[in-house]
Amino acid sequence: MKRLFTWCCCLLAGLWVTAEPLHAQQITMEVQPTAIRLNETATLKLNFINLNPPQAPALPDLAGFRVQFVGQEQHFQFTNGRQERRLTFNYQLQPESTGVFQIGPFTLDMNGQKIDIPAVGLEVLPPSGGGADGQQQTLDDMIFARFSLPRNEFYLHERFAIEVSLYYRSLQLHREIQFQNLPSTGLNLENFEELSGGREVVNNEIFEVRRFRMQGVAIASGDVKLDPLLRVHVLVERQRQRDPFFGGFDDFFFGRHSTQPISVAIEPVDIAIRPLPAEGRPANFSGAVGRFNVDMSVQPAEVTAGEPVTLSLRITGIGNFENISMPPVDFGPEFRAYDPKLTSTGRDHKQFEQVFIPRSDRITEVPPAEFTYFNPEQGAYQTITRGPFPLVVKAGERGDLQLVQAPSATTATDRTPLGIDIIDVKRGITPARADPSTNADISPALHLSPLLALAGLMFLQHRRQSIQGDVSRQRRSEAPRSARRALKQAEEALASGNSAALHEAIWQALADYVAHRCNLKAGEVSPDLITGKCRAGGLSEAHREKLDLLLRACEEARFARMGDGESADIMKQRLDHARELLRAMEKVKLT
Amino acid sequence: MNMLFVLMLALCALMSPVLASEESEITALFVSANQAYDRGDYADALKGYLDVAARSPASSEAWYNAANAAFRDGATGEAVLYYRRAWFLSPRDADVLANFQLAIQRTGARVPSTSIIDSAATELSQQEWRNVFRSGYWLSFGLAIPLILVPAARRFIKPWLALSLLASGMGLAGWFYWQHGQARAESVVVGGRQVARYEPREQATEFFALPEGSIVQREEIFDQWAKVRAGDQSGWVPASAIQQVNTWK
Repeated sequence: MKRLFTWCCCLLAGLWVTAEPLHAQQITMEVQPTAIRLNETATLKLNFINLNPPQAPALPDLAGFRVQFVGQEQHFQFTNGRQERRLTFNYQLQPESTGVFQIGPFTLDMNGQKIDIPAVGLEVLPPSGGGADGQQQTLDDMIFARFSLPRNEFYLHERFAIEVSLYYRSLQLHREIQFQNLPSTGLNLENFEELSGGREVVNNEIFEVRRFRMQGVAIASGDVKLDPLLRVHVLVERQRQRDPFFGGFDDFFFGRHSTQPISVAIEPVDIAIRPLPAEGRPANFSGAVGRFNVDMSVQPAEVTAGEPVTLSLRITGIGNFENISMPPVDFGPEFRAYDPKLTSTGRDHKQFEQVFIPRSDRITEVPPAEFTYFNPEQGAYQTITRGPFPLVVKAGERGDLQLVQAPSATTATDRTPLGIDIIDVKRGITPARADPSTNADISPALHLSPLLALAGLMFLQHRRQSIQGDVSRQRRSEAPRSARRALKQAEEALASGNSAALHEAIWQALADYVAHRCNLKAGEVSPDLITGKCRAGGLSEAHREKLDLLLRACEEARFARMGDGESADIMKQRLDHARELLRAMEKVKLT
Repeated sequence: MNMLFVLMLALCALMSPVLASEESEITALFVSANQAYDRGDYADALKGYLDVAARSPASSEAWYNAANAAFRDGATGEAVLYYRRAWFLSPRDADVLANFQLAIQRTGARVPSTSIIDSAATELSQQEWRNVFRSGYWLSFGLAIPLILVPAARRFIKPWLALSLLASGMGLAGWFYWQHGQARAESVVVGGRQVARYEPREQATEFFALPEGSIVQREEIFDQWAKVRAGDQSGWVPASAIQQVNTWK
């Protein structure tokens, strides 16, 4: 912060030191406003620019006014490096009669030097007493607007200023205004700005005047009607009951005025846009329309053949700068010319630079540049020629051309010598057949395999977790296993020829299977329940018959001991039936 | 399953002599080129090294030696090109960097500026970035399995899994930089000094000069011309005057 302050001080000091000395001593006089009523006052200002009077000068008697000195002001300003000091003496003018008055001219003697001060005008009207001629006033009497155009005919691509003056009296207007109904074709309006306002007398009434300016660009030939509306906001005093407690608070935040929008019609203007004349159009005309001036310079004026020279060309003036390009210069074969570059552009100027290289020492001058434009005020094409410029070219040491090195978004190479020779070759090699940018050494399928494995693992894990929370599903998955265990015991019984154990095991297989499938307790399963479930589940008729027979045999063997002495073939057949039935039951829905 | 395993073993057993013989051929060619280099027969050595590089394109030693041979043979632009290729494969090889700087210095060309991202990405070669990615990738799966199966171990596995995923992401980014980044379109001016023009035709206005060995970015190809960018300027040079560094894909 301290450093910033120091820098600012240095900068200001530098500006003060480098500013050019006082110059252009001058005295001006102005009256504000230029129209008043008899019961109002105006201020006369005497401005001493770069002069230092010892005291306020005494004005001579002004007929029709009482004059009173009301103070002085002093201003300093820097403009383009030039310092200007302005000392202003203010006098109040109280009119004594109506009429149009001329104040001045005066001659002031400053240290023996006589300085003339031009006259200024002031109009004094009778005191305000209602409408003109005592009639009722309308809104149109109180506010209106007018166009001001340099002319009504323009040329294509011409730029011109359009001024709008808004006159109003006995009204207070909000700062914000809007233009509506602007033309959408033929004319392009841009760079809207408000100029300084003032007062004017219209129809013997004093009006406040606000002035606006915009730039019009004729973009298509034809007729255009300018018929916009000006939307303004009139300040209206609020009609409110003042709150004895919070009125001030309300006024503080919301103000004492509200705004009421009104539209002010402007007297329409017809504009004709004419095409640029084909007759007399020079071949090098590139579309510039307006009034221009051209400055051109060549630097350096003395070079060695092969060295670059810069041609600078600046076009200033009023016109369509967006259409202006660098005027061509016919360098010829003695020069190598590079493409011109636009170095600066603005609303009132465009600047180009072009680098060229003289090839030989025979060159004595740079060829001239010609800039052609259309002057709409004169309705004619005009050409400005600058040059030729003298150029001294000395013979170079090398006959060939010096090219401009590509500059540098590259970093400058370190020019310190790195060594006198390169490092020797490598003696060993690691053969690497694979293209370094590909995955040829490993199949893409192999890279996908962990993804697939992970997906499978997640699926299994999910299934396991879902089964863990569901008893019926757990028992459903347990059913085949329990049946297989019992059938294995049956096989052992068959091998040992133990019929009772065989039938017990077959019953166990069927009962456990059905209990798990139907999520039943072991004691709840009976032969009737098994056959009933199988019937309901849709087991085929043949299988149901086999099941009945098998269950009956098991009952008889288990409880009546009727199976003892059965042949091994019969026991094997029963075991096969049990397997077949369990397989069939696995395929039906038991609930 | 067992049969498949046996078949794969048999295939490997059959292929290994073929691969070994190819490797020994490459090594023999390389040694032969080295001998030519030692004799001072740089043109022959260069031919031999380029032959090795054609058979073993990811071998930085082949490109480095080819660059040395080209440098000795007076083809400095080609030397810069081959050093650059060797650097692409071995970005931390000090020999490559030193010789590359010397070759660039001799040509008068400028070294392209590098950003922080460029510097970071070129710390590893494309192949190394790919290996980082693969390691992170497989390690992530290796850690994901116990993460799924052993809930109790999740607390310990998660940080390691995050690290391996980060490594995998960095590896992928580094590989992507080499594959599609600035290095992709990098080219070197060969065959003498070139002049970039404003338009792709012989009569177009000259714009800027490019010394042999200049490293440029190729922007587009039109007919027999290539638009190249050197620093903040772009111009057209004959397409035959530049060679792309990264020609592997």
